[in-house]
Amino acid sequence: PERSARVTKVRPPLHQYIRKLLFSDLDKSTIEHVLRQLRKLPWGECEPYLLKCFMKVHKGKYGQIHLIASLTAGLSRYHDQFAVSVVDEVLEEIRLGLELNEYGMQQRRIAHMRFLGELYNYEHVDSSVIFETLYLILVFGHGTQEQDVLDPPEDCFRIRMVITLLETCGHYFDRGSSKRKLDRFLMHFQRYILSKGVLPLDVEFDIQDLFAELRPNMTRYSSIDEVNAALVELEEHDRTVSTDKANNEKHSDTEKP
Amino acid sequence: MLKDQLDRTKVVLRHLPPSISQTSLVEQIDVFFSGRYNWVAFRPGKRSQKNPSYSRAYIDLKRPEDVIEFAEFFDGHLFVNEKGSQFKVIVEYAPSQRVPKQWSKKDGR
Repeated sequence: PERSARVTKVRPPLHQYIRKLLFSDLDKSTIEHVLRQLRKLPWGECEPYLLKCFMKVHKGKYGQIHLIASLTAGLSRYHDQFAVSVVDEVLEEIRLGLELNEYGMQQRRIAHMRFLGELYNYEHVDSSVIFETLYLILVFGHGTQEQDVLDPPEDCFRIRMVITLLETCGHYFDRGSSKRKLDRFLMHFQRYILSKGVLPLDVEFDIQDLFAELRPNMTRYSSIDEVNAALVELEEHDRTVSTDKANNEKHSDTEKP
Repeated sequence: MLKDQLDRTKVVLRHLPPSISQTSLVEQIDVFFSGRYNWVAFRPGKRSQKNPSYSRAYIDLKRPEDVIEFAEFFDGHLFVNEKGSQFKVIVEYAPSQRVPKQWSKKDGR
């Protein structure tokens, strides 16, 4: 069928203005100004479009994604609903990416991982959300018929996703329970990496950099059996610890507000 | 199942028909769950040929027990659009459990 000539999209002035603020004006020195301008928008009518633009973090500069996260945090004081939506939306994008695993979406998916990490840095998501996302990336679609489409044996993209997220916010998991959670996750991550067999060198180097930065003294296991044995040991250790803890903390309240 | 899922109340409905409206969805929720949730956020899908997408909704139920009942009812529930196509809805805990702090202003009462 014949196609008509490509028509340039005509956007309403308010949308054009929002795009100008986010995609051309925004930088480190203008962020306060952009935030003020965004607050002045007619929110009832602009909110859906603003959400859409916030999800386009892959269109801007990779190094500026934290500015969008910072704006989200800034807006949450006045439009908490919006900030909640941003988080829900990023998580949905990540999930959708895993469901489709389309090559053309890779850049976008990496940007969303970075965005999620920055939202953690701006205290807009809890560490539990980060860890659940990390584990989701390792296991999604595994054990189903679609596994070879969603995570083919030679595909290292999920490794890149994990690296991106941990490069962005992993350094905050350096004490207490989140430190233990990261230690444990990195063992599962190692098992996943080993399941891929021989990796392309660039991926291997990125993994080495990540471990060097986050856990320079952590053992890198060389076989799946070794990791599995270490994980069994870790689980046994945790079980004894949590039994002790339960006995000690019988009277403590839950931390729910 | 994670331990802390026992006190989770925010769920997401995924794979809703692209054309469903918020009003129609809320009506169907209200048949059994009227008054049993605090907050709903609806994300319309797209019907476009090139990039169609499902609609989605987030709902914060009042009690964790309601979540179980809600999931029993809506998970796998078939929604039918105006053309007769069927959409099998997925209900899951929302990965982020945050809900807006000041919802009261849009309570509508």
